[in-house]
Amino acid sequence: MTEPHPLITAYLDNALSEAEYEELLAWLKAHPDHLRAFVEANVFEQQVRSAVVGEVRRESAGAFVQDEESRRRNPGRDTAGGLMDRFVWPWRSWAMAGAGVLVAGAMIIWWMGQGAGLRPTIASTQGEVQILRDGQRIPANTGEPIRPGERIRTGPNASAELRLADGTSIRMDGSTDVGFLPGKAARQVQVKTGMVRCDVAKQPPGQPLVFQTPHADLTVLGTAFDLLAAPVESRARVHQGRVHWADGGPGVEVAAGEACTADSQGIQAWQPVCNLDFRTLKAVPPQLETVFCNEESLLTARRRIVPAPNGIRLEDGGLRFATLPHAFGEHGLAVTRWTEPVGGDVAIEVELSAAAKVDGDSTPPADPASERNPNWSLQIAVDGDSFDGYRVVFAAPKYPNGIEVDSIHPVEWMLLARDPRPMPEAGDHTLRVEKRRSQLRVWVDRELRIDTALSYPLAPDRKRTFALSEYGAGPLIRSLRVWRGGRD
Amino acid sequence: MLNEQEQERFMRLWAESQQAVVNYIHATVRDGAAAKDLAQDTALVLFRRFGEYDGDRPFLAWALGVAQHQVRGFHRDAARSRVCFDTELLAQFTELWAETAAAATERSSALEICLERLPARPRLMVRLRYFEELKSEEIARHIGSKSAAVRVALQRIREQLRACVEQQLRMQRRTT
Repeated sequence: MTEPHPLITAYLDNALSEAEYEELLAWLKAHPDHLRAFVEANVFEQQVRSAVVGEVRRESAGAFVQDEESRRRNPGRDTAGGLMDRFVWPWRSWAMAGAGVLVAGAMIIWWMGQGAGLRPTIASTQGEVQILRDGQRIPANTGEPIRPGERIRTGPNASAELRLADGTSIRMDGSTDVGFLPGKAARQVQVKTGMVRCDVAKQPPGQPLVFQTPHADLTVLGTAFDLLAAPVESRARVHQGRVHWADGGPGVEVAAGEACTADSQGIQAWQPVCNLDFRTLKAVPPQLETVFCNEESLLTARRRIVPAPNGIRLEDGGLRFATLPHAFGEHGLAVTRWTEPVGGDVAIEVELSAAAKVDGDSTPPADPASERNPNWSLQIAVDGDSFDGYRVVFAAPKYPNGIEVDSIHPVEWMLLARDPRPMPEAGDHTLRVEKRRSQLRVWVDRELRIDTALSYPLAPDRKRTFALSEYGAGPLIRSLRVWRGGRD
Repeated sequence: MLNEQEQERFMRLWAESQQAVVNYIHATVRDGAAAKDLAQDTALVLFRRFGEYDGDRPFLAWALGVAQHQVRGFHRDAARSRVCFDTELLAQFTELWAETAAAATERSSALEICLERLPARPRLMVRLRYFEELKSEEIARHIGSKSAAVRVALQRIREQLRACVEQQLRMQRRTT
């Protein structure tokens, strides 16, 4: 496909000066191919114009349907006036048409002002929720309508639920900023930052709802998904239906169970590997193999890795590693690894509770105050297992006092990256490790803690899988979700 | 006055050609409001002069001939026109339009699919350009960009759409 002549482009944009117009006419006369190219460009441009106009008109189909019903109810007008009457009516009924246009114009302005039917309202709030209106921050109240052009912001520990006229629910987590655009962009919801969990009602044909983040647009026709907009990337996880995820290029279709991210490197679709809710599972899935390596041989060339099926157990509320000396009689590293290769590009999310573990006993303590275990740690390994891949070590509150990325391949311990800021000691948290090509990102809840490029060489013959491991006091793992990069 | 049968025939032929004629007027007039007026005038002239239409000729060519006359009349008005196509060039343009537009009708449904696939920002830009009929400067103000960037972006969008349409047509041909 050749680029059109700059004069043609300028003509299509109505941007020709008088001199350029003369130049264009001379160029068109210079060769028949020039005129042909000019006509083809114009024909295509006009097709685009009429298709866009048609699309917008179809979006107003409701009005046409009403009009059609009204005509059916009053059939006499057509038969009396006949074809010519319909054809020339603007001239005969000029005054009526003028008035009609005024009324229609007023209705269109009103309709645009109403956010093209989205009509968001605040269904509920918790904590500090504000509306940014006319440059002022005002407290948001339940039931309050949000006008086009306004933004809603939740405070760090606040939340809000917005409802659209069609029943769509948008639940905003804390520190989230959502805006509704005015005018023709009124079917767009801007997620400037933060997390929204959406349950989108079925949208009318040709009128998708578009969620804009700083990195990409998510187009939906009726689905449920979570969408996060963070400074370095935006990501979505689709629970139901399909969405279209694009950053200006053709984009990708993302189906239920899949996830997608967008950042400065572009967009990425993630295929589900597993979605394990350990709170409801009756048995550990067979793809999870648990092994143990004692401390003595761990950092030597002769690692003694032995099967340890009793190294993990399901208990009330999730999955937990067994207490190491109790289970194995010695200290070491317990590893639960996925037996199938998943590739090097992987995203892993672990939901955990840092509840106390009672050695040898899964009964929850009677005293709720003791349900806090400040000394928990968990490792997530990617691009290999905990022995030959990259490990992300989360630990609270002591060593390594925060998060570190390391590897113990081939034998020695190699520190690759570190964030010394302390981990939250108690409560429920979501840990996320995302590796895409050489880039590794580590998140705790919604906070990006490490964003680093890895170049440390791993064994080429390793199984490119993932693993969870721990060497001390493991938290209660509520769920494990894993996606691998790319498509089948 | 046309009888009922002739009216029906006119409406059928006009329905087939209307889009190409209206597009032609928009392409040559480059002013949305004026183009709409001229398109209505042209439709009325076509209806009134339908009795002169030679049924052996393609209706589109005849209708474009009438539209060409209307466009020339529009450009003759010195108050409206700066520089315009001379008679010969406009005639050649019209002739080529008849050929090209007739061959381009198969693109319409593919184009609708491709438009639906446009991401939000390009979609907004084409709507501002072709539905709202805003100039590049106005679009730039609306979306917080520069007019030169808008012109480049619109050209890229047109090229993307063209590539998408060609791909759609190739796929359609493979499946039929």
